[in-house]
Amino acid sequence: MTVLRAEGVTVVAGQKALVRGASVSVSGGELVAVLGPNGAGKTTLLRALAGLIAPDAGTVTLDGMPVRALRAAARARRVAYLPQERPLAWPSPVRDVVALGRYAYGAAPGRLGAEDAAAVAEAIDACDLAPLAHRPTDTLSGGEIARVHIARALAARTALLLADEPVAALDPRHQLRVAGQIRRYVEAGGGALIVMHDIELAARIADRLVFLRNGAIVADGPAANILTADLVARVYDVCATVTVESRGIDVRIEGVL
Amino acid sequence: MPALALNLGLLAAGVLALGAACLLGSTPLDAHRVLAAFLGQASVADAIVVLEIRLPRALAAFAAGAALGASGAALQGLLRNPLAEPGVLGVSATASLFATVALYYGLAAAGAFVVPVAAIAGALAATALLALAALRIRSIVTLILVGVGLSSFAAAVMSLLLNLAPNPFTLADMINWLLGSVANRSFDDLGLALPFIGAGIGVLYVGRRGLGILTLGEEAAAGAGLDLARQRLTVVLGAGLATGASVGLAGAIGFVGIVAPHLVRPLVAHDPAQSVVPSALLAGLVLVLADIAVRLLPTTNELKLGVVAALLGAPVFAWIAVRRRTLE
Repeated sequence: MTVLRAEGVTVVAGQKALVRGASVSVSGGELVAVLGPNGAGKTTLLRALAGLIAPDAGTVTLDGMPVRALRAAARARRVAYLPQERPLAWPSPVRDVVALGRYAYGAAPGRLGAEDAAAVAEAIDACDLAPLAHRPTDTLSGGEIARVHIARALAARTALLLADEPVAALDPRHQLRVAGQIRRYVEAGGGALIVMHDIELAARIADRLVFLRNGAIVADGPAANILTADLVARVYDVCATVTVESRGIDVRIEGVL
Repeated sequence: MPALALNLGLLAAGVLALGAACLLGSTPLDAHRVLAAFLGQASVADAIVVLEIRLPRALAAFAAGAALGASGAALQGLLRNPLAEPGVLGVSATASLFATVALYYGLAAAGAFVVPVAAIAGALAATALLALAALRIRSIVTLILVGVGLSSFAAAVMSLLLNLAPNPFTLADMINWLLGSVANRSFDDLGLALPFIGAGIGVLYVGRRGLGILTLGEEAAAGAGLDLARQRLTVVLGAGLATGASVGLAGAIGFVGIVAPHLVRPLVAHDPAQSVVPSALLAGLVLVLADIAVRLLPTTNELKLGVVAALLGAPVFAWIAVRRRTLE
């Protein structure tokens, strides 16, 4: 089983430590949600895990190998990364954008091998995009675009998925659909680490929650074990009540501390 | 495969246009005499007109256009913007400037290779500068403005050199670079430029797949396995060589590098990777046709190819800019 692990990772930009001494891991079959206020260092941690930036201290390893020692394509065949900013430069058809997920295998939208074509078709089906497959992406709604990006990441058939706010700016229905797609990926053996803002949704779908504040990890564990009003107050500087109910965990933000 | 059909169609049209360029001109020649010239059975005068004047001139237009089309498509893919182009980004202007400096200081006397090499050096310097700026500047629009600044600066220095030109001959030479023309090009000129144009387009062709993944943005492309630094270097090198050699051959010809990829893109499902080759073929075709028009138009002085390209291309540039729907 593939394990991506950060140990004591510190990332400094100028005078400021964006991430300090963070240790976190994700492995196949688990969904880890990373939460924290804006500017807590979630995206920076994710980029360090993806091997896109070198930590100033600490290590990031993929199955024991330093992730930055891998070539970009070799890394991308094992870890898919979905950044927060997802600008599409051209109005490409949906299928072609999903096909870009096969880049690390040497494929391109104009030339897909049998395995590439199968992976693209599977990802399109998994995200219910078949009716939109030939639509230009500039004619899609935000929710549809979000599913295209998930499909693009799934088409790479990686062991792990790192996603930065994949459900941000989506309506509740699309949030659940996208979250459901990621959940199914994990049920099928994949490991996902996703940055989220919705604590309740995270508690519902994730196996583990990781809370960041000012670049440091302040809690890491299953929601049932760690999610308390005190933790929410410490992380977000808000007054909250957390109640465990049969259908999930209810988090109510009551005001600013 | 639609991309292949498109390429073959454009190639066929290019060959037809080259044939037409040999037929048409101030000396009327029919197809029979042109064919005879190719087969070595024509009169000396016909052979000179077809093989030493019209054919190298048309081939020069095609090669210069192909270089600009491929460079434009690649720069647009790299910068993810349909307005990027060697002319707009100041690459052509910098190449012309270097060529003009070589002419101004009389360096061109050292050999026929001096001006093309100077133009290539200028183009490489400009593309490298843009790529370095791209590392710091996140906004593509800002980067294009840097290119516009570079272009203006090169034009200003060029005006200064024109202003200070030591004699009318130097002035006339420099104006040629400024306006862009393929008149009086010989197979020797082509022989100097073609290896560089070929190498540049070859480099861009090899690096075309990375342009496709950049559709997703640099961050996602890097995450999907693209070596960003290498991709930038590939496009800088390819576009620098091709554009520089094109300017060395024909002077600065603007806008064809924007118009050709813009027309091609919808035909290849907006895939930047599949735009490079058809953009090169279409831009070559456009310049051959424009050069035929330049030769046939009954003007007192022959119009310069670069002037015609700018007259047609600049409004198209503005039209693309206005109609652009941004997804960012």
